[in-house]
Amino acid sequence: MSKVGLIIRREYFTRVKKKSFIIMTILGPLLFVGITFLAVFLSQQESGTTQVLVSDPDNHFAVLDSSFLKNTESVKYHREERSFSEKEFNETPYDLMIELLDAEDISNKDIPLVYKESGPSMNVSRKISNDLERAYQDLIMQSNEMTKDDIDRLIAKVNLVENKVFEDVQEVPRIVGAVVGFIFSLIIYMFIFIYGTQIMRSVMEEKSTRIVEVIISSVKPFQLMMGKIIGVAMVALTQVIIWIVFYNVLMLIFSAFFPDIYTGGGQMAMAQDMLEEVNPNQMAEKIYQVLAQINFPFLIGMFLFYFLGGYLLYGSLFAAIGGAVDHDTDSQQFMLPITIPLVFGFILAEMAISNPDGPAVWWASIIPFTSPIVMMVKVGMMGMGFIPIEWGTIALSMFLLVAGFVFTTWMAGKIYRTGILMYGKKVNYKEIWKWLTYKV
Amino acid sequence: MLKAEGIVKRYSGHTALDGVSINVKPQSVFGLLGPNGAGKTSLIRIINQITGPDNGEIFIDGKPLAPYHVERIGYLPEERGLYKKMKVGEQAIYLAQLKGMSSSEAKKKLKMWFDKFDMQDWWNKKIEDLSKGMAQKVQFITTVLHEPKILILDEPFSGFDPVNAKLIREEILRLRDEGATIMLSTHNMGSVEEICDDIALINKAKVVLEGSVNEVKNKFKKNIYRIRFKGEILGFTNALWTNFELVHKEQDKEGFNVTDIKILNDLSLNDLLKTILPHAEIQSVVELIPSMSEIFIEAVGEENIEEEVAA
Repeated sequence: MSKVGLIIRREYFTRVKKKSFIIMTILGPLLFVGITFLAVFLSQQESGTTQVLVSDPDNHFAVLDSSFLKNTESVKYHREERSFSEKEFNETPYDLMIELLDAEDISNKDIPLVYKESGPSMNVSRKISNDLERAYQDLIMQSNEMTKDDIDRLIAKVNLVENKVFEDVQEVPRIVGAVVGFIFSLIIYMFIFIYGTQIMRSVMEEKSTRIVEVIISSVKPFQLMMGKIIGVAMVALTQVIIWIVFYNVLMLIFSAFFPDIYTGGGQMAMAQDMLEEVNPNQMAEKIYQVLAQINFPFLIGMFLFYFLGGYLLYGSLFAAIGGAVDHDTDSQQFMLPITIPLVFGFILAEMAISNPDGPAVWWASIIPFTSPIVMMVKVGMMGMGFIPIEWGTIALSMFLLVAGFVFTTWMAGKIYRTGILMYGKKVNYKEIWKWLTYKV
Repeated sequence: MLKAEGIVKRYSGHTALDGVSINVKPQSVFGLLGPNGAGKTSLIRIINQITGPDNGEIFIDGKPLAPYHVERIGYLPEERGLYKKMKVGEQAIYLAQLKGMSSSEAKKKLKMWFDKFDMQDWWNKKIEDLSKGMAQKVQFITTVLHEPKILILDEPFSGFDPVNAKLIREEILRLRDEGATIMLSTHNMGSVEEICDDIALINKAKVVLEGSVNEVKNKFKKNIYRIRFKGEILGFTNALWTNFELVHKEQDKEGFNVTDIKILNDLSLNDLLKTILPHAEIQSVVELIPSMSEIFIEAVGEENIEEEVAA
């Protein structure tokens, strides 16, 4: 086995055999599944039934059939054809009151909602507003002698504009793609921090135990650094793969036990809140549609590339910091230049969800220090067919990322090999700059 | 065996080595001496290919230093340590593999060493559970396990208690007798006299003194003899006149006079004896040969030593 291979093997196995790794690898997916189910569960579970008093003094809704204000487990409507003062309402047994205004006046859709102790939950208020919207639509329809088809045609017209180019997808808003991409961004962001810090600590440990000089009398410092980075990368990949497999297995098991809660994709359920314009009743159907639409090989391939690219770019910088300092506390000042672009990338990735075509997002998806995080949001949309795959931009971004990590690795190598042999010396940026120019 | 020719190493602030040349003979123990900051570690790191010289060249067996030499060198750095959380056996095998040994071969050799140092039950212990002296023993074994032709030991005795230091000293001499060439740097001048065949003293980036231990000592002896006698001290000192100088005198518990006398003016010991015989009943005459420690201080200069202590 080559010497780098030996180092990779040691770095890999000492980490994988650690209790903390095994615990995190098992707990991680359990935690995710737990959170997913909790989120879905909480979003569906209301604290009992909300009794809604519908005050309809002008008796508008009398002409409509009762299906518009349909009672469910969480919401029960009681229509009264009179108005209530707040004092009067307070004496009724109902939780909330909505006061219907003149139905003809469609420009004013502000409907007063009065509540007693606490306001309605997201789901309740969404259901009420959905119900009212459709009720008003129907009223307007009737008073203008329009048919349901007229309304559908009106809405269809709007959809047509939005989906001129990609007709397949008119049912699902593109934000879903962005959210899928953003989840990948989040994983990359998290792993760069978690495993980057691990590299840094491991370098610092070798330096503080003084074993480093023994080792670099057998291998080149660069080999040691790369062996460490690659070994830790393999640990990270192992963890990600175990998480993905384990998570899906757990989701399958859970969904078998709780078919009501699980509606075809945990992540999608979390995205539900962001999809307010989608009727929750049609959610499951939509989710299947989304899943069918995903270009998995493209998405997974891109994820692995940006995951490794971003990790290698930052990993070598973390290694350089570990090599330069003696103590954990000294590392803080050097962490800043690494943390800032990462956090900046994360903010831009959030921006990219709503505006993937903006110039700031474009630049951030090209520049290697932010591209692994920002590009994944766009890749998510591309992988789901919401925007065309921009091969040119992707190629440029990938090329720059590779160039970027070659550069940071080269630079980190220089800082590292000088730093690891400097004991008990307080370093600053000026000092590190000098190391870059040292000849070996 | 190991030769350095005109090695120069500069760092941005200072010159660590300024044209250093040394020659280590095969199967000998070579002592590299000098105060802290003189450049010893820089030279040792260059020989171990951890850094490269700005100028000059290292030869091993007449061939320029190359990456494959790594497997023939065993290196014990001054700043040394082991992975704290790794088990002793596992760790020693890993380090041996990095030096090019196979895992099974390393295991076999390790068993032998563990038997020898009576530490068989350490195999599955973590380094952090061992005492400092025990860890040092493990470290020494990992240095010599791959049977290097050249052993480079930077301050090998620091951190050892006297018993273990003696053990290591014996091992060094045994390895030499079995064919290894050893270069060590140390502050422990007593051990230099005991085990070194040749030395080089580096001060301020330059070799200021070199040769076999005996040569160096002879070079530094001052023609001073210690004479122990019975007799009248006043008459004795008067007899010395201007040809001899009384450097030191005292009386020991048995009532003998003990005097250190330096012979001047190209005279010999015989001349001294002739001069003092009428005045003294001589008990013993010994030539005072300087210790390595005295030579070190004289060659480097008092002020540098003080600097070192301060640092």
